Amino acid sequence: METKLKFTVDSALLKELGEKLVETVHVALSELVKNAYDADATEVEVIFENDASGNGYIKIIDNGTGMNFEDVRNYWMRIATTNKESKNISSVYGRHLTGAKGIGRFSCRRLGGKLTLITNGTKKGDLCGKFPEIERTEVVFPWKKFEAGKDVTTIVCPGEQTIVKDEYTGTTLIIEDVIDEWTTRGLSWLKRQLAVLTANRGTRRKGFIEDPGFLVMLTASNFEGGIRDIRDDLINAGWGTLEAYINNKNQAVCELNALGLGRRNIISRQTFPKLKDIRLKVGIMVDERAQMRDLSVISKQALNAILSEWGGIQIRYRGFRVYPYGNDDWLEIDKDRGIRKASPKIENELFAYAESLQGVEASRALLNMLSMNSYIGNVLIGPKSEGFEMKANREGFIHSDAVRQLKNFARFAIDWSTILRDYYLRQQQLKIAEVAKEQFENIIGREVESQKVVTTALDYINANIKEVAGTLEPKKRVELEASLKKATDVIKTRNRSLLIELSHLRLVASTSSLLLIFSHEVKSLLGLLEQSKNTLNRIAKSLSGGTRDTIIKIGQNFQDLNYRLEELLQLTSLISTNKAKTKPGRVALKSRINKVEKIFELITNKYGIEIDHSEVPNNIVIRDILEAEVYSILINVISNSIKAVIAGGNNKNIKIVASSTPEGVNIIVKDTGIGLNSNRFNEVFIPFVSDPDGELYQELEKRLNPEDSLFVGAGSGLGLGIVREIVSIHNGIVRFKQPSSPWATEIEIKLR
Amino acid sequence: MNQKLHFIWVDDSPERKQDADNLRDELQIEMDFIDVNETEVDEKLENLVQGKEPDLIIMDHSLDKSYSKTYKTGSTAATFIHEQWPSCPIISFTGVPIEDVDVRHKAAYEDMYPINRISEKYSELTAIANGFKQLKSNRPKSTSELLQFLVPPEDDLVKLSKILPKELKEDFSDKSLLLEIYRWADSVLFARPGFLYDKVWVATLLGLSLDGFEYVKETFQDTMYNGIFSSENKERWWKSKVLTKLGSLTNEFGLPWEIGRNLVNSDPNNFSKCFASQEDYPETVAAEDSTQNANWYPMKLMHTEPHPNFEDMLFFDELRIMKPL
Repeated sequence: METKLKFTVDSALLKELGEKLVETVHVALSELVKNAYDADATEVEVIFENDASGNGYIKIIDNGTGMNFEDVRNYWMRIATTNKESKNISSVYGRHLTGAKGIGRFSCRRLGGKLTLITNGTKKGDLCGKFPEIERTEVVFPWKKFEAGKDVTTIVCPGEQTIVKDEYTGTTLIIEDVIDEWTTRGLSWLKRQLAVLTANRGTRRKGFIEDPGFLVMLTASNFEGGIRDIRDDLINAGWGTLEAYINNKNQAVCELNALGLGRRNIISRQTFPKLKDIRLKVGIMVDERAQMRDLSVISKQALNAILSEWGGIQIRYRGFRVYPYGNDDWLEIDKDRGIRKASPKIENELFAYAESLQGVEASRALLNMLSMNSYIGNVLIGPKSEGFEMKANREGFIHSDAVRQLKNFARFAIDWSTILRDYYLRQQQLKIAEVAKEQFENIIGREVESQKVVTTALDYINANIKEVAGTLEPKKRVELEASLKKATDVIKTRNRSLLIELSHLRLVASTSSLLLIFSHEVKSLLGLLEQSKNTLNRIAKSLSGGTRDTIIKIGQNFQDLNYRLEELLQLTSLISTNKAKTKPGRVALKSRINKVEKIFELITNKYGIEIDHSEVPNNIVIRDILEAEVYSILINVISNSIKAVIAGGNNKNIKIVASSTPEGVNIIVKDTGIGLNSNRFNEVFIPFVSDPDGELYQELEKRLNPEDSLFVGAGSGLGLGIVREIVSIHNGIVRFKQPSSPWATEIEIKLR
Repeated sequence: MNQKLHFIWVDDSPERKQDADNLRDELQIEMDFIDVNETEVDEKLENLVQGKEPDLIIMDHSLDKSYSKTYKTGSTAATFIHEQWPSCPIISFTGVPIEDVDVRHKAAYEDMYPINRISEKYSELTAIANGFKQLKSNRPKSTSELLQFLVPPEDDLVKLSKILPKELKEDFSDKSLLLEIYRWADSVLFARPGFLYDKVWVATLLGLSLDGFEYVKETFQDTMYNGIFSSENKERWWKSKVLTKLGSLTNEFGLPWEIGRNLVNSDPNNFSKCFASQEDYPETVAAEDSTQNANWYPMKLMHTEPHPNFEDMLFFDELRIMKPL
């Protein structure tokens, strides 16, 4: 007998497949949200609620393409089928599909005992929005009836399919008899999954209409205390959240809520008169675990992916995204990173702000600037704004004052937050040092003064190694102890000399403040010299003959003194607070030599010292150096030569030559002074060793008028040490060389 | 007969009265000295603005020897005065280094000068006061009226109208218009070589050293800028007029720095030389380095490059810097 046999499917298989494919409730919910994303939804709401009887249910509502009658029949109601097999991008916005294939039903099954599916789709399919005619399907799946032993095809799922007018597409899933396996850890995992999706803040893909982005609203009062915007959570999970707006005085009001800093605020002094109704909100995302505020929302790995695809500060104009802002470097952040822009302009108020933060070097405060991709957020231009006009091709705004100011406003906020991040990083470094000290104190069981940390640590190491050494054979033990002693002696000696140098430099630094006060006072007195000269000139006008000439001459002397003092004071102002002078740049050598020569003019004239620098070309220029550093080198070296030639007592000649090579600038200063023994060539650079043979100052004392000793420097022993420090910062070298006749000393300075 | 200029000097250092008297006598002007030393500045300023607007106010920048919660510096006082008298120029004299003064303070004044250089600024003070006086008596109502105050060469009129900032072209009723005119003239027109050249630029254009230019300066008298705010201390020459004049004097065609040498009977001592290379015929003037008070010298273009601290401006010369050797 011929017969046709057919497979039947037992309901137990559904349960089996569900549990195998969807391990946890968190995975299940994540898959359903991914389905909404793949269905080109722009918003999805996930609601955990209890009904009046206290029974929990979950609602997942999206505004995607939904399913029409045919989709429901052919895909949803046929197990193990999916339309995702045939495509890997969504039909409306061209999104890369994220959900797994065909497990939506099993996910619903995994989440609860009963599912109500309500889905609105167009007859044509793959469209979303509002349409005059919509195919609506509402079906209830009583999963509990799908028990073992029952053929799946025999179970009736009640529902109806209707045509509704003027409705929106989308899908709503209502899951009842919720399975109570929700854990905080699982929810964190879920949030991380969703955060990746919400990073899509809108984009355009070739051949598709513009994707407005994807929002997930999570309402879970039992877990998180209310409604959560997952994108907000994402923005707030990074190192900091920066918000800014324009107030009614057209100033930028910025607030940064950041890791380790809490909330910080600033109101700009500068104004942006063309801006109103502007708001900025960005997450500052640093892909380091230690610099994330909420690891439950985002993992380092996911952040990398998000930043590369979705990072950037976009502009939304009256609700719509304006391209290409956010896909490009419209704030010139990456450009400035590329050129290693170190600080805001000196006249910028942020420079002063940076200076006010402890530990922050204003001139380097922007070096930690993050890339444009590290910011996730928008600048919102509201309906009350003016001066923004789109280009004809819709690619950005036509250039206007408002657009320029918008950029300045956003950069002001970003630069301000960058300065605060620099501050944060520096504070962290201090904390690390403090923690290391504390840990060490715990080990040795007592407190240690900061200044004695190195020596105490060395003693500790010494003691421990000696203990170990005790277990060695005598010969090896002696060898080990000898090496250990040498090593610790070197470190201790170096540390001691650094501490002494540091304390001396502190002293010098404190006197520099006195110098500034002094120069300020003298500067204001210069006005009196000018006044006296002008008054004398006025009086002279009423006189005649020799008296008149004498009065004018006295006035002229006052003027000469005025200008000479002014010139000297200009040098002291190089260590002032003027920011332009703290920015390295190009410094022409010849005019600085001229100036230093002028400083010493009184003394060189008095002692008949000849300084010849005629062979220094005009166009020797030192790059990337502070003007003050060049003066410091020249003053120290030339004053040494002046002292040497006075002490020498015979020919008093100093010669300066300079040349330029592809590697940098070479300066040589030679003198006919007392000379320096070649075995002292290195020693004189050691701080406080100003006169190793004790001859220089002995001879100077004989030949130098006491009142002039201050002028050429009394020999602090730091001069050449400072020169060496400056030169080494610029990757150069400074050394004494064996001089050729008739010179007694020759010092060479190579600056790179 | 012209009425004497009237200046007011506000200061908390009584000894500066002597400076005010010197200035008064030197410039033959009327001068009121308002001493705010250990007094309430607020009241003095209130009284001041009740009176007649002067032609110029001199303001001490630091008012720390007076009493006021509002006016700690001359700049806040200047802001108050500008609100009442929006067309009154205010110049600050100060003992503190001007480059160290915050730009926002500087912006409150039309200019800041060091007190120990006051006599060098006498002619500029007169020029500013006279300039404002002219503008006030015949306030410009259009771009062309404004440009007439500069007395520019016909050839430069169109270009000048193009580079005038919008604020000076669009709203002639703006109460701070005259201050804006001064600030633009001072910070752009006089400061950037392009329409006007200073002595180094004009001498280099003519192929002459500064000493060499002194020989022909008189000849080029009619090419000098003599519009509003012109002063002996800030001599400027219209570039276009200089070139026209050079053509008419030499009857030659060629590069101005080459034919200009004929003006000094081809005496090599009077020729300009490139500061960087000592070569002949430097074509431009460039900064020796990037520091704030760098010197500017004649240089061959090949020894220079665009200065990184200055942006190019339409119709103005490119500012350049010496290339390191």
